[in-house]
Amino acid sequence: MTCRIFGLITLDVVDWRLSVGGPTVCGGDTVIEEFGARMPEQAVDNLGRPLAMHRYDAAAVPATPARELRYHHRFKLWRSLRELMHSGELIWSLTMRSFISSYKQEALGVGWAVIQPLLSMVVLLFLFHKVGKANTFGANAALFTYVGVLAWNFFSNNCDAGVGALIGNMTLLNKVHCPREVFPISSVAATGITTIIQSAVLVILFAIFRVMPSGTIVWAPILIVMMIFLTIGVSIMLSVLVVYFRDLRRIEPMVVQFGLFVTPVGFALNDPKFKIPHSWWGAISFINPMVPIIDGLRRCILFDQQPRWGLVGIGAISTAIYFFGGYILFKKIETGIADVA
Amino acid sequence: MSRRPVPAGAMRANHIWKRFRPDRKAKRLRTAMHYRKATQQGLRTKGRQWTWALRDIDFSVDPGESIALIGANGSGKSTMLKILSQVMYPHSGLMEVEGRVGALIEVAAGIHPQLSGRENVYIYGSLLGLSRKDVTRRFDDIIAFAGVEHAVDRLVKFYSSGMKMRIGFAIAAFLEPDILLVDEVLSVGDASFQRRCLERMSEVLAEGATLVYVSHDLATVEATCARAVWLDYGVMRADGPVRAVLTDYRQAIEERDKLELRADGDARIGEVVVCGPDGGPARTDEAFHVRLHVDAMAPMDATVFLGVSEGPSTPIFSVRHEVRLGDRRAIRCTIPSLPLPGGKYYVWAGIRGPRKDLLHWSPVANFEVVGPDLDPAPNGVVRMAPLYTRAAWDLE
Ligand SMILES: Nc1ncnc2c1ncn2[C@@H]1O[C@H](COP(=O)(O)OP(=O)(O)OP(=O)(O)O)[C@@H](O)[C@H]1O
Ligand SMILES: [Mg+2]
Repeated sequence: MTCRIFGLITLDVVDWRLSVGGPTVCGGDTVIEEFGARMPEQAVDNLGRPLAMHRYDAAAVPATPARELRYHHRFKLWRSLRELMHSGELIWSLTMRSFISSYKQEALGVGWAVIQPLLSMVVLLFLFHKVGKANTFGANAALFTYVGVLAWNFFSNNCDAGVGALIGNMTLLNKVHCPREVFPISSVAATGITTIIQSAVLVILFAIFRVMPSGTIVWAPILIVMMIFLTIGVSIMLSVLVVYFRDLRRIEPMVVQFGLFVTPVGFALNDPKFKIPHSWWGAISFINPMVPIIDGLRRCILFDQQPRWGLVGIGAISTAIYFFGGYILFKKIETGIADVA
Repeated sequence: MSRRPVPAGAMRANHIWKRFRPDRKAKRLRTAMHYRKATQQGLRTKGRQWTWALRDIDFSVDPGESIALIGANGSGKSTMLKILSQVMYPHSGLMEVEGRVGALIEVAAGIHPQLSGRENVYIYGSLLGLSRKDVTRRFDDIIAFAGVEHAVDRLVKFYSSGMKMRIGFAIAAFLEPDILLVDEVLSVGDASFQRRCLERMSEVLAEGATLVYVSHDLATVEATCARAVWLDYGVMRADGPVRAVLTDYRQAIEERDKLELRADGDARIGEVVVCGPDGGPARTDEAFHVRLHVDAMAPMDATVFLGVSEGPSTPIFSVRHEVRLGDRRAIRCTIPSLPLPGGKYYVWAGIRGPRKDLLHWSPVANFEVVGPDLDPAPNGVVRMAPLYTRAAWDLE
């Protein structure tokens, strides 16, 4: 009888013998001594260096690690920030990617970037100005509302995007070691591009209503920088918290929705109709720095006034707390992201 | 823990410990309340249970070395790779890694489903810190290797799982990594792609990069790596030349699932005797005898199958014979020249009756063959099963 091994070699079996009740020679496991006869040649690694065999006793490993071995994620703020600076190219490509992919599959494409704030503007105009009879202090109501919507949209869209910035990119960030804050930061940058497009609409609105922006607009960049830092801080914090606490995904849109009505987006901070007591302004600005930012932007773009520097100062302090607090929190708890992902 | 500077491609795991909390659900309110009740009733000890996935892993890899991580399912190989690639942080110990790490840890990892193949290549390149120009230079190689030329601009979520793995591997292996980490995902690819992956891994090694390879396919491990580390449920059991470590590993598997003669069929095997010429040990290229004692419930015609395997798996070869079974029969099978090199093997047996299996195919004995070692296959080439054959060489 023959049998085939891999179709190459035939193996001959000379005899299958059958006998009845033969004597037992030995038991199931046949142990054969006389093994050390072969002398194994010296093993080498792939670089040609001799390689020794080390065996370890599993029982010798202690049950818990020695205290001094504990790994502490050394977080150095400045070094992390420097590392972040070097990730410019990465941030840029992530930004372009999320910007392009967010509009690519839609029929209207970037058109949505323009339509969405205009629709919000119309809704707010109706709510606050048609129904609520809010006071615009002589400014064009459409422009008045659009400035607020523009700034608020930047902030709120980034809160939404921040929530998905890490959990939506888990497949990428669990593969390569890189500063992980690039994900929320690039999502802020992508929203920034949208906001730039929406600002072009503001310019068109100015033209349509034949209004010139006032000269105090030179103060706007200060407020815009503040807004960017605030947004990065909040969005970075949300992005990492949601990894551990997924319920945040449901809570965040509700808070942002609520924020739209407690922030002077559709109305003025000093509108007599809404009677926000002066003594509260500071506290409100501290909790929600978007209040002095939107108020200030409107004053310097439409009313030829300087921002309320007192409130802006309070907002700036709070922005710094949001930014550094968010960033430090992010760096502190990012070590566990891969464990729960 | 010393802090010598580490050259690119080097890795040093200093006493790495890692633990996980298995019950993430405890974060939910309802589960938390349920737990509180259980705790009050004394059903549960206080505090959530952590389990150690890695305990005191300590080894270092020099630039250009090829090293395999082997171990049973759940022994912490993938966890170790994640710590090596620095996406996961250890609980204790220090992981030092120098250089760019290309990793293929899970099929999906590193591939963003909402992006096209092309965008994935560029994003991954920039994650690795490569400039767009560097990536462009390698782009055609990557796409050609992955064989997805026709689908570069299709979203990756519409790729087949083999295609995802292909592009994932190609990206990791072609973007000039200093360290290449490959987990067992290659098994998703078809045979020819697996072979090309192994070839590419040897090329990457030849270019001076370090390779860490994880697989349950021990033959490919032996073919690609010179060194192996064996992880056994979170602890290191051996670190050394791949053959020696594999031998230890196989032996441990053997001991773990002790051979048991199955007694659930209609036929049962009593004793098994395996021997070489004159009742001595089995020897390469010499006569080999297997003797089985078989008990059957009633006399019947049956086919007896015998096979030999290396480790508990598919046989290297098998033979069969028709016999009439009865009460306490001894069956002897002789193979005149045993085509096996020295090493440890199993004898498997199965008995098939006229209508059904009387005894399921299962290992019935283990034995050692005394004989020469097999000559190694060329580097990076996978040998299927050990098979000894004589060879005569002439130079004319
Ligand atoms: N994120 C996590 N959370 C909780 N437990 C985890 C996590 N990752 C791994 N584990 C546990 O750690 C242990 C080691 O897992 P790991 O994936 O490293 O095993 P492995 O050696 O890769 O196994 P396989 O051969 O099946 O791939 C397992 O018990 C697993 O359940
Ligand atoms: Mg694994």
